[in-house]
Amino acid sequence: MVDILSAAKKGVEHGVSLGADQVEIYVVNQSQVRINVRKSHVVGGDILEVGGAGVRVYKEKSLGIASTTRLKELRGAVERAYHLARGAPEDPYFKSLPEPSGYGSVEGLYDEELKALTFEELTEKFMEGIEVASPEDGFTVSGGLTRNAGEVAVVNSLGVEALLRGTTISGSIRSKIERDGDLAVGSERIMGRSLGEFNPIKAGNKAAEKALARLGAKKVMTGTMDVILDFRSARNSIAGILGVGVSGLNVALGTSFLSDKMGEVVASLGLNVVDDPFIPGGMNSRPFDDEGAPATRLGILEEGVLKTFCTDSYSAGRLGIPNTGNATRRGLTAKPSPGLTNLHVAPGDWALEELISETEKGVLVEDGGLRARGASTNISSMVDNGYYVENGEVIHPVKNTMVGTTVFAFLANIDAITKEVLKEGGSSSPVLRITKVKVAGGL
Amino acid sequence: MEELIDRARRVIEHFPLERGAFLDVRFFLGETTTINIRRGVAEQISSESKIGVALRALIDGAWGFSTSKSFEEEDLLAAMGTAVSAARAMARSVGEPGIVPEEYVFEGRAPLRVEIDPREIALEDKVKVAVELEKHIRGEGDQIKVSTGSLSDVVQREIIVNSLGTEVDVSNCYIRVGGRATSREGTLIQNASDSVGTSRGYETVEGVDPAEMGTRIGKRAVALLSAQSPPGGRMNLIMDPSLVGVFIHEAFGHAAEADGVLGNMSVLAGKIGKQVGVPGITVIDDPTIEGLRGSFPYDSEGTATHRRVIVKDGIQKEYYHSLETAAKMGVEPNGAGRAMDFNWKPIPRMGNTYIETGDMSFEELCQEVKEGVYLIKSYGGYVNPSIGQFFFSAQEGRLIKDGEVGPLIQNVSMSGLTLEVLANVIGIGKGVDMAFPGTCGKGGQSAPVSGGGPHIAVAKVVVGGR
Repeated sequence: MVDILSAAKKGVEHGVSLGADQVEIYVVNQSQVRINVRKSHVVGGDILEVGGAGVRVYKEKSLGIASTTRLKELRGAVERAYHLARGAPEDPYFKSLPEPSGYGSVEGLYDEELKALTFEELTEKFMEGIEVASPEDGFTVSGGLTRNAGEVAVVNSLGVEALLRGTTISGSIRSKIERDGDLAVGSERIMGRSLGEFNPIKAGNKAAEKALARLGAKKVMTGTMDVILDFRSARNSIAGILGVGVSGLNVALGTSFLSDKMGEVVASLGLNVVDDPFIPGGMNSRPFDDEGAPATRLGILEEGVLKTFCTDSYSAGRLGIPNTGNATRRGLTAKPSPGLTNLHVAPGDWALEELISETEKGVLVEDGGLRARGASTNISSMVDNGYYVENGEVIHPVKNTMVGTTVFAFLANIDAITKEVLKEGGSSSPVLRITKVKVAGGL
Repeated sequence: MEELIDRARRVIEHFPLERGAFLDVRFFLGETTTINIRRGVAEQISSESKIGVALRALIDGAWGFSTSKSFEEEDLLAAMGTAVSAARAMARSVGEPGIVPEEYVFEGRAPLRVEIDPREIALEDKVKVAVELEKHIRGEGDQIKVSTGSLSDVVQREIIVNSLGTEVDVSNCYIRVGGRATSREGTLIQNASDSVGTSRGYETVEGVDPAEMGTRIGKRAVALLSAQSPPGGRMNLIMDPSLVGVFIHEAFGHAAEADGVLGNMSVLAGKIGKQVGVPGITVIDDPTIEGLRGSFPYDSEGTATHRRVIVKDGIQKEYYHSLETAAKMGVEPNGAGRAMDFNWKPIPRMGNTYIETGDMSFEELCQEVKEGVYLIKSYGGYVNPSIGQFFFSAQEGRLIKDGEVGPLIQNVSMSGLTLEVLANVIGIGKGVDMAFPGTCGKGGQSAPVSGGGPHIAVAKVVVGGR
């Protein structure tokens, strides 16, 4: 294994020697294995090393960013970043990259057993899931699996030196059923950080079960009705909507719909939402963020009241508020921006069965979510998978159905939260019901 | 670079192959410069270097894949060894064995087709364009909260050598200049954006008036603040060429990719020769049109590209093929095997997808629609090809009442079913405008594409408004 921490440190030193005011180097080095399955059989497999280094250089408040896929060429990337910083306009809002700090510990991010699983063993185990995803004639199954094992390092010229080892297993099994001229697809994700969480048989069974349940999809009439978000749809919707709203960057830019709502009630029914990067084995768990600032647990909504924004070093400096350690990178070349990690929506007091049985008319959204596009406050989403509910009963799957609302109406009109929650990948969520939503149907 | 071709040839020849086996080596050299100016401040000025080698092996019907970041021969031999062992390990679990067509061998050298190489333009000059564009967006008033001017240029070179004899050295340049605005009035927040993207050189940027583009984007973002809420329900609509571009890409293009068809994960499986749309509708994908964002002379397997007729007069004619899917379907490969970089294998992808011109005027289309919405400027989309349900989004629109275009409406999205929607086309306008320069995502890989057509009128589309 390459010593990525030393490589990053050398790169930072080089940047400083060139005359940079601040330098940061972010290195990813992972061994990746991928398996592709089509029509219930293996198509092929990939074994590769992925990663590289991203460099940020500040010179008199001007930023240059460079990246390279070859760690050997890190010095050159530092020089490119320095050159860009010299030619870039100033950013008067930039204060500083993070200072060194102690980190909390997070358990369960690395599993030697998962890493040790051979290519053949991974395939064999994955194929067990593929097999059960086709329980009878008429099924077609496809899938993909990726195992990553590696390290991430963040070093900056202020003294931050952070290194994290991790393993992940992620993928999906898709099961398609064709019967009497009708067809439906069920898909189930695989995700985890340890061998113990790698359960393809469970995923395969679930995919087939969903496909069967989704046969007979029908269009619905347009109307105003309830929208019930299943566990995952609720989590995805809240994460997407709040993620935009509480981002310190959006607040600083004036495009957060929550920018002037601190301390106010922004959601109905006393919604409680926490973002927790310390969940053992969570997919997004981490002791430090992508800039090497210590991660923190954030109580975002308490009884519907907005309690905090999430920040990275830039937005915290710009807003003059603490850095919550939420810097998130989308690639080696992208500048980090604030993002949430493992979202927890607290349970309510409805039994799921009761919630459904007391819904007069609505659409139950499965494995999806509602979200606004960009910073827009309008929500206009397709129901990828869902069911029509009438008089307290799930009647039939739906197709060609859209939901239109706004982020404000969404948060204000949550009228039921279940006591049951789904814990998955470090996040957890109950089922939510939103009232008075415009559902557009193809009938 | 001939030396790299010789080196790849030696690596391939090092592995004795049985009949039906296949190896390829693809050197990838990519450089990207990105400039984003946000509210007068440099948000991102970056330089990305992606250099590596992708190596594939098809052994006993199974594919193995590996990469090398080094171009040294011994590293390439080791990486090919890994790909070969991955394939061998997979071979016993293979169902339908993988094949490639032995009769298609390509040789070609396609250097950059640019008048001005963007790498030769000083950073300061590029920054000036983005600054100017952003300044004019912001100049449209205090309601503009975020304004971004961007310029990015990507120069990529792929050198592809395979065991059948293919030797291709192809370079492409993708350049894009554009802006985004977010406007706000009280609690209402709206977005507007526009961009020009080509596979030409820096002359693209010189052809853009950043002040005009910025002003236009800013004005649209402000206007949307006083636009009506979009209606929801099933209705008739007219799409502008930009929407037609994203519509045909999502509604039809993805489902016509042969990997999904062969995997029985597309509703267009088995539809060749069958009616899939109204007579009069013709869908073309042509990556050979000079300068468009989805243009490229050779794909990432070294196959020369050509014009593809996906749907002719309502009849499905062709799918998008990689070498393997073409071999399995017994057709000529059409150069659709694209890979994002060296970390990914080529998969069937679109290029420049469009609907052919019809003969109706815009007024005639409005009369045909009578009551509905006119959708303007695409805002992306996605599709689930296996069930044929797709989603696409417009930045803005106008109500159509009594066959006349009326007031402005805010951004809105639509959903449709692949097998219904081309049958519900009720009018095709005149002229083709490739107005959608986009980036398509599939299986973790992104690819530059474009789309367009004339204005199109479609009946009974589900619109997700309030």
